[in-house]
Amino acid sequence: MRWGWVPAIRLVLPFALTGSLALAMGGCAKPALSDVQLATLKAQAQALADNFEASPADGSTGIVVRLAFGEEADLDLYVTDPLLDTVYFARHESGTGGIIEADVRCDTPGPRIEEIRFPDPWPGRYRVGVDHPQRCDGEQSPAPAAYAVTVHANGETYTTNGIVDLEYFEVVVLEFEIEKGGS
Amino acid sequence: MMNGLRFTKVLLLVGSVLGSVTHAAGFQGSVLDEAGEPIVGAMVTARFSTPFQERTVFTNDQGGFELTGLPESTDHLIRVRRIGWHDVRSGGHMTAADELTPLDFTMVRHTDPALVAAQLPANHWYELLLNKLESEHDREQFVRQCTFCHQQGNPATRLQRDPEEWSKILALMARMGAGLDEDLRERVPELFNTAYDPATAVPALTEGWQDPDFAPPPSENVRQAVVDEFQLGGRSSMQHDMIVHPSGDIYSVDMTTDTLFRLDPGVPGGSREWFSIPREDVPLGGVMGLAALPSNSEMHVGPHSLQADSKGAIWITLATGNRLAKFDPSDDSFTIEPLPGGIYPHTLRIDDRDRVWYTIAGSNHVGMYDPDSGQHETIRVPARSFGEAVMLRMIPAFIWLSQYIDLSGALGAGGGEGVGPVPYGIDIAPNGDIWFSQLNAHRIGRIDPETFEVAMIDTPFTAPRRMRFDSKGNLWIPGFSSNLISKFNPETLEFQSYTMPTEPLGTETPYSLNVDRRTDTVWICGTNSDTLISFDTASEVFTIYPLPTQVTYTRDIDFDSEGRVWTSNSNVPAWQIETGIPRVLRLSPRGTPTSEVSGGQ
Ligand code: HEC
Repeated sequence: MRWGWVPAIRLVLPFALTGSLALAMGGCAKPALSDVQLATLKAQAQALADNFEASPADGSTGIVVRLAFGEEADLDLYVTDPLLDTVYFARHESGTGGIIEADVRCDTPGPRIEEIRFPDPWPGRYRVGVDHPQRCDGEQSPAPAAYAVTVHANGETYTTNGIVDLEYFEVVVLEFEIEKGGS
Repeated sequence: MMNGLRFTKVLLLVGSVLGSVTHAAGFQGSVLDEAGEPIVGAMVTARFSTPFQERTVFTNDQGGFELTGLPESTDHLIRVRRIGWHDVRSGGHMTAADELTPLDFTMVRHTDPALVAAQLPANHWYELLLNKLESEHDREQFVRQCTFCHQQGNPATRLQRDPEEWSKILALMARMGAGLDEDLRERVPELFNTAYDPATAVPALTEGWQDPDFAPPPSENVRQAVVDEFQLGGRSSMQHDMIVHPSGDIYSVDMTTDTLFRLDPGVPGGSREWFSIPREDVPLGGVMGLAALPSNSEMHVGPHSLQADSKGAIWITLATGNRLAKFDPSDDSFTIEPLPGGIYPHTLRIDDRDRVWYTIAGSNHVGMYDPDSGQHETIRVPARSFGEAVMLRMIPAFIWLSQYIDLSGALGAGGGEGVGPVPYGIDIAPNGDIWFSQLNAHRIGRIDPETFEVAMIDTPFTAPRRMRFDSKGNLWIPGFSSNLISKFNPETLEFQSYTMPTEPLGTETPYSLNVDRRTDTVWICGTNSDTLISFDTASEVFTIYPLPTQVTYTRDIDFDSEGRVWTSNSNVPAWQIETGIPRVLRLSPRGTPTSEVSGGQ
């Protein structure tokens, strides 16, 4: 998890081969985050985490992973299962039965919570990622957004929070392990 | 001399050990329809061992087949497949030493055309979308930008999705490098949904499906072939390139897990070892800090391509690590060689002085490294315009600047003229000249191996990708977005192009080719059609070999000394592959191999 704002190099090089190295390099000055802005974002992230308690996941079995974010941004939740198969807004079901019911976007009224469930989870390692594909308020990059992630499994809850820049995919926000025999 | 660090083997795991292979062990039988008529050209596949190997043969004119050379006393899972019929799957079949166990199958005809449409390779569906792209500019751009990691038209990419979901997917793909021009990007969501709407797509794809000439069986010649697939890696893998090593071992680089695999096909089921490529201090996503990685990726250094030198050492380009790696099979150790310049080392070849030549895709260079002298050359190759040249020269400054200036968006824009030239394929001519392609600039270039002077030639087709010389000094080039291969004569500077035969015509995306220089047969990746395609340069005849696994996305080809053809299924994301598991595969055009191991050419 990244706390604070680490300047990300955004030259778009695909991971597989360079099909698109665009050359129209414009760019605007990156505003450095002031201490006040950073503190505000951290407070927002903490508030999102605290709000989970106000709208708990229903008491179903299995694993429930939830991502909370504010109305200024569209954030996406990714969960990769022990088969290394991912559920996210464009892959609605994974090989081990993980499902996303709805992609929560700019037109979704608050509080914005995106949810992925594994009703009958396999044991093994899970990876949670958070992407920030678009703004809802028109703000220009880096436009960092606050988020909180919570995982419910085996009657336990784990919550974390963070900040992610626009058009940045935080591939690993957290990883957790489900042991054999647990759920 | 090497100035890199030296690492020893990190992890070694040997695959299954099974009973020995006796050539007589196997199955023999026939595949008939419910009326007892033979089904010609059905693919009969036996899967055995963990991790698995699958061996596939085709049925003959009488519906008969022989699956031989299988390990004895092994529990085999059998699948029989033919377009128009339900797959037959049946487990628990045991082989016995020195005999062919009888095994017959009856196939049941499909009654639902939607299930027939689902059996067709992705390119059939893709045609429906391509037909909606009216301008050649849009079509070319879409093919070049959207088909270089995974197939288009496969099940995961042809779903009905709400337009906003499509837009978000396109934005994500653009951040991975698949940018489209703004106006195309706006039109595409609607085109996807209309092209792939099952209500219209299924009737269009299955018209006349009850007729015998719908999906005709492959020719008798093709039906001699045997296909072996070896599971390699998992769902987070991308087996980018593979080679046949002179020892007969197969080496494959898994780009998204930073792993080098070694497969010994001599052991029944294949024995596998894997070696973690040293990441040193390179973070997840590589030195460039990619803004969008595959969600299940473990890629730091991103091994992309590999070749063996004259002593058998394996050189690997580490694309996102901006390094070269050398793997020494005698002690399974890695040596890492940092690069003096450039961004994204890509495809490599080794000359007869064991110098390593490699394209550098991101910064428009070709690199040369001489391990004997330690000499590095980073050769700047021409840009298309003065402006582009200035931009490319400034890339290092931009990377530095990006700490302070936000360049996102500006850099990942369209897929048309705005993208970099991208030095791509590379090969060494029999006379020692170095030739490379510039994928997005639609040209090839020659480098003098002594003076490093560069000359460029426009190709009369788009997207020249991975190319190879034949024994006579002709350069064979696949046109990825132009559905052809082309023969270029470096003496006369003439091109002669041959349209790919894949049906429906115009739907192939030949990513790569290789020339078996013993016969000058060109083998081409049928990347979007689950095929390998040969081209006999003497008779100028193409032959199409269908491959058994749906979503077989192939990127590179190599040969063993018996003329068998090796490639890997590197569709990324791997979960789109039928079974979700990547494989390396071997096509034996002339039937069941008599020896499982034979070295590279
Ligand atoms: C640089 C490699 C690459 C290119 C080029 C590419 N894709 Fe993808 N595509 C991916 C990866 C990787 C995923 C899975 C995303 C993840 O892992 O987070 C994906 C997912 C998808 C999906 C969702 C289905 C799934 O299996 O997750 C669709 C649809 C899709 N791509 C369409 C396209 C289109 C249309 C284009 C051209 C604009 C394109 N792709 C170009 C790599 C690529």
